[in-house]
Amino acid sequence: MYEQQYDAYGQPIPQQPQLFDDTSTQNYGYGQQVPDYSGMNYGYPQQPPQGQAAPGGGGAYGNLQGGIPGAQIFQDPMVANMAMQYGQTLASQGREYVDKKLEKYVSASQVKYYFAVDTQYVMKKLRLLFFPYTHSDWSVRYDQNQQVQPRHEVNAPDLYIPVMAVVTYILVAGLCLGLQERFSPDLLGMQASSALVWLVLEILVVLAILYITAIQTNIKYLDLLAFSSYKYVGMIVALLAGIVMESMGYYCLLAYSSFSLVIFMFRTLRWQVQGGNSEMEAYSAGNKRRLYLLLFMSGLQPVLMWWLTQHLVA
Amino acid sequence: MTPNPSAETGGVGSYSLEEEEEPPLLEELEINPETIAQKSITALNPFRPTDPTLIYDTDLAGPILYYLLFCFFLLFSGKIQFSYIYGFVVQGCLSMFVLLNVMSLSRVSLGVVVSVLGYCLLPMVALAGVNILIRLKGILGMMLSVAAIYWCSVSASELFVIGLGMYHQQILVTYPCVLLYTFFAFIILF
Repeated sequence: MYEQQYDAYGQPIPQQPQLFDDTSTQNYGYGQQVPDYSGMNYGYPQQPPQGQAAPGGGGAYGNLQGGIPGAQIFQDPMVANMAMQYGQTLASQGREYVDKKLEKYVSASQVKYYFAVDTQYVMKKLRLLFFPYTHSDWSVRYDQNQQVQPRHEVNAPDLYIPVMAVVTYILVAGLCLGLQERFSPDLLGMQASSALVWLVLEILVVLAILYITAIQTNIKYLDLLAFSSYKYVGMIVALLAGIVMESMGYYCLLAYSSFSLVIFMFRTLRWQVQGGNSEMEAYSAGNKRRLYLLLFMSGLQPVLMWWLTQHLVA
Repeated sequence: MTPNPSAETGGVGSYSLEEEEEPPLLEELEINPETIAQKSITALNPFRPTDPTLIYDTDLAGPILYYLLFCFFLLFSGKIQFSYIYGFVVQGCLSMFVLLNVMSLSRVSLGVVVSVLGYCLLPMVALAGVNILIRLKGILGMMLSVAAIYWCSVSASELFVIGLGMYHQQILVTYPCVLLYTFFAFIILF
């Protein structure tokens, strides 16, 4: 397998360790008989010793063919097929590995639940965010121990509106800056990162409080993410009013959307944090703590709304 | 393939033999200008119903061409921001890909997403071209930009909705496209 081979000029060819037995190179060549050398190397180098059989021109022809010695092996369709298949199996194996690792942290089906929305749900939810007093029933229906999809239940949290709201906020911030002649793309990037940082910080604070005060709830991380991001909708509206009507419009709409968001958050979270199913008596111990947590979270929203938008309105 | 007697002259002769038998460069790279033009017209025509078979034939040559045109038009109006645009295009396509996969029942591939978004970029390229000649800052500029964004987004979302069967989510698919193309408009305007 490792006997020394020589190329057409009698020079020793450096040997490469063999990857696998490549039996497809039997018929490769330009109509010439390829001498059967044991231990066929896959890839470099591939000069069949053409010694005395081929004319000198043919030998030079073979040598100058590819820029890289051995490149002409890929012109053989069988070898090309095998290489492609090998690459494809590698790619799919890699993807499976990544999927398996990600399942532990963010399960795909969980995330899909939050995006199972349709236009009607989005419209109703937006109406709820701004006019929460029109709604009386805030409970979420359960379907076999799991919340019903947002598509069918308007009170369930979703992640579509929050994601769109965050991105729209970044764009509207860019618009504000642009109208004030302060725009540049890296500033947009900075706005984006600061918005995300505040979001993460808020969620971490709430999680820390939940842990420290040992409140038992059914609430999940993605739910918290959703609830914390509903304020971006109010911020967008306030910013747009600020563009149209200067500070007056901005403050008015900021006040109104803060007010409605507080009511919305309080009502929704009261239902979510208290579990809302038949095991109410197990949760009654921490009711006062729960109430404080709710008030804290609801009250935090206007403060953050103001903090993240006031530097954008002149 | 047996060595041709004319190749006896040496390496140079054998090169010319090979070059004559190779396909022309554009054909070898599979860049077909007529196909690109035809697909763009099909994708962007607001008067004819959209043909979903378009999106199954992923082709990145057209989108890359439009992206380069966009960047060069911006270059001519004095904004050398290739890196930001590239970064944003990559981010936007990836997020659109993730969003579409999560929202729809059938899976999409990244090539399809990039292909559709790229072909629908053409009105933005036209806007960038107009920007070289006319300052687009006033009301007229805003209206033109809004019209271009609307045209791009509606074409892209039509293709996605018909191709993926997300009929009740049309507005939900249009909105992210609007956000994407609005960013391009911002780069042009500001």
